[in-house]
Amino acid sequence: MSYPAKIIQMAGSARSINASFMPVTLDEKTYNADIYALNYAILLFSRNLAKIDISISQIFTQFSRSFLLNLLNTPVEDIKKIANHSLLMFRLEKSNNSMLNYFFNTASIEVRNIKSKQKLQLFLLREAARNDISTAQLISGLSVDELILLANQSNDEITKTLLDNHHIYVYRGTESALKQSLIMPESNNAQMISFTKLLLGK
Amino acid sequence: MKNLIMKVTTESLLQAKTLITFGLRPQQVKMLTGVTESRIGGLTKEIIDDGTKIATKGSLSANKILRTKNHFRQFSLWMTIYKAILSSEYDFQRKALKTPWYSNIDSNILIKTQIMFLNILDAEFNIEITETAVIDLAECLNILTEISTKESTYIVTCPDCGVDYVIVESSKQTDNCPFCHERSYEAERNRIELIFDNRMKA
Repeated sequence: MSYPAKIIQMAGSARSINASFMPVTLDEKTYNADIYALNYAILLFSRNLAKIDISISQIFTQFSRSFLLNLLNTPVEDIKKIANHSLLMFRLEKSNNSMLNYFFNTASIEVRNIKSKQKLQLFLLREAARNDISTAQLISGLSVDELILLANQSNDEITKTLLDNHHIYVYRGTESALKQSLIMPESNNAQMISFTKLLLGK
Repeated sequence: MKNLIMKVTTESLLQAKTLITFGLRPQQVKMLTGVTESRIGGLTKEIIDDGTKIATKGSLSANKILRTKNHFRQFSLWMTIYKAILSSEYDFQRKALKTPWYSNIDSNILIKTQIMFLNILDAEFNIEITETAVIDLAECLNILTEISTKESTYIVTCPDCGVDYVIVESSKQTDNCPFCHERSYEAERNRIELIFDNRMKA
């Protein structure tokens, strides 16, 4: 075993004396699987919608036309590679687009799926924010005040806000950087550029 | 009052122990946590008795640490994560962020950054975490202090990809962006973009 894993173990055992002594959380890895599932699901969802019509996909995400064309031409295996494990790639934003209202008012399965995905994302962020606010900020890119507000909400309140307002997905980083990693999914360089872009924000 | 003192000491002892394991010099540990040198000696002995491997002590200059492209890239990533965590923690504590950001060195955030950094390298970039492949916390701290003390070491933002990286004037390695200004990367990117453009036109 290499040394960092041991450090984590050691710090963990020290933490069991009294959790309040050690303000550092050491379980960032616990969110990895959930974050990856969300990122991948959203990318695949926008790709599937773009397959029907690119303009429909553009209603739910804010990707440009050329980017969505690239996404359509990318194999699913490559999309699996570019979905992030440790940072959420999309944040939710309220939208009053009339087309969006039209889509959400039809009770199709696809639409219900979007709402449940959005709910899952907010639940995950609430969990992360309750655990440690700076980790939550790193993975979501939301401000501290927004996260505190979210941490204090109950399940019902979150469900209600999602029902009352329609949200769309907005990519957190820059689109051109994601496009780079999309066209060369094997390149560590392209992935690192898009990753740091996510961290830096727009 | 007695309790309060106990709390602070235990926390800083835990932090000191973690920092020693990450390979920081006793002087640096003392500066960051306020634990006396004799205590640090005892802690080091304790860690060795536990069988935990201590990373090699970092005392090199930035010029020598950034000798490979891998380390150069990894430091950029590390720096971005540190900056992100620093801003969230300081915002949360309602402290004014001192300018420039790299002169704010906090042991807690250092440990957190390193754990996050290792997690990200492992999860996103499939880099095996061994001593030689990954940049050390001690090395990163050395470069950070060098940036704030030396005039010939500074941070710049790449005009093409927008990622921050460090320039060490005495080094040939660190004269250009480690991400996008690599010959093979550029050639590959141009080639694939051309293929994509042709496919779009067809």
